[in-house]
Amino acid sequence: MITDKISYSRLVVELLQSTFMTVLRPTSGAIDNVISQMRSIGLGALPTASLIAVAAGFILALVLEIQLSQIGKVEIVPSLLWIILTEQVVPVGVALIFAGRSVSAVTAELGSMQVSEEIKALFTMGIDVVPYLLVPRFLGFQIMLPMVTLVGIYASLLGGWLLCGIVLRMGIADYIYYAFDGASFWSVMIALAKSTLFGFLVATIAFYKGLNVRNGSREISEATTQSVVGAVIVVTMADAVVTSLQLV
Amino acid sequence: MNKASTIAKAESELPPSPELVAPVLEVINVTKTFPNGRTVLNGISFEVLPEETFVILGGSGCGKSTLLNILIGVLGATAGQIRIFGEDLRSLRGARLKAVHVRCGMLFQSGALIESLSLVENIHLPLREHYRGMDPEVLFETARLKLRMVGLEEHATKRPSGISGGMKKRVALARALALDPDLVFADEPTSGLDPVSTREIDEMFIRLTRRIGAAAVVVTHDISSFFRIAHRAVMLGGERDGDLQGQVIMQGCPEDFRASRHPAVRRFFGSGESETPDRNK
Repeated sequence: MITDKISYSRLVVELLQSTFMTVLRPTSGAIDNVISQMRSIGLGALPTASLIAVAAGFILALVLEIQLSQIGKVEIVPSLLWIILTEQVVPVGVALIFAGRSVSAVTAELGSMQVSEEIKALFTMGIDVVPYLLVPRFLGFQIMLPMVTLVGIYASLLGGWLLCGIVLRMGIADYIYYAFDGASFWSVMIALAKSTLFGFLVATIAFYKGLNVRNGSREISEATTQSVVGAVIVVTMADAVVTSLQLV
Repeated sequence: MNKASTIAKAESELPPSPELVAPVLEVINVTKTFPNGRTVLNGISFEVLPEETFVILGGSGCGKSTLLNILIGVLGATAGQIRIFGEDLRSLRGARLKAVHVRCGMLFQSGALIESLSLVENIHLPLREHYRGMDPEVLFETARLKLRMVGLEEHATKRPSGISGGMKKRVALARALALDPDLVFADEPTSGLDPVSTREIDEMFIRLTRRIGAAAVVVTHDISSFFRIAHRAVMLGGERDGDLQGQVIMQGCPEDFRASRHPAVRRFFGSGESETPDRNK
């Protein structure tokens, strides 16, 4: 990991082992690190994710209203919004926001720590890089991505209501009634499961690319670009696979 | 002997005689060949005794930094053996390797301070990680004390990006000595510093390592530093030394190097003549 390039599979095995040990026997220093990472990885993404979710809900509601008004079924707009936003749009959208914001930041941070010999310094101090550096960031992704997704779901439904309220003159009580009419708590669980999976994927891609930087700032920028592009592709593909499995 | 060297030597006790003590570090016939087929180190052997300052000298491309990376366990040797505190470095894994690292300090050329931590937190980090049961306040006070030893206590809350290169080296020295190691490695501790800062770092390095009774392995090409800090040294052949590149050219005490008639040694010391303390007087 310090001089030899680490393989993705070895990284994942070491990360899962260390995360398990940290969760079993947390120290005060580890808890402080996790809270700090939750703040920088997730909390900062919350305003952006909420704003985009409101806009996505509004736009989707507008499209649905235009189409469904032609067949006189506008009252099912809220329940369609619930299904589409909760299970598909928001988990993927939030994961993509994390890919653009937090994955790039973590890759660049780890890459520059490699270049400036900070990771080598940790090794020579007898400090394990995986539990000290990676586990807090990993837990930051694993905790904050589902939490931001949950907030995003409600923000997007709020965006949908803004459209339904303005165009369809639908009151909030009616909106909630129609939205929850066809709603299932299972949809929220699917959203949270998906975002946990996406959190795992984007975090490990960021770590893999960041730790394998060796030579200078040019390689940092290349690794950052590769990790963002890789995270976007992997999230989209994983969503397609999980959605397909739901139908089986 | 020049004045600075005399001060340094007077401050220390001479290292113990080789016949009386076991070396803290033994480098036995170490060779390093990179995957591209280039051999950068060829049959390097030396040993470092407790409490002595051992310098690895050489010009560009002689493999000093590669050798240091092998000594700290970051790189593996292609052939040969490193014994550290009597244990074969190659056989050490996990907790045993960590135990050896706790007995060693490392001062990096760039400082390698953790940018996300303040100066005092940088020194606190190894203490926190290795003395988990202890009162955090006691550990923080110890870190502040180490920072005071290098004269930077008033900058404790600053980030590494907010201080000068010389100050970074001093903090890095305090961090390297945080766990009171038995062996300190230093990679070009004075590179990029002006002569006054170089002298300060050298004298601080000598004073602090000898106060805790640590042996030191210092990689440098700075001749003035070499004469100030070294008890003994090994010189490796560089790019200009032809077939001797990556091999031991000479081993001995500073006086031996001064008296040597070996053309590579003369060339190396001649190139840095303007930097020697004698000329600076």
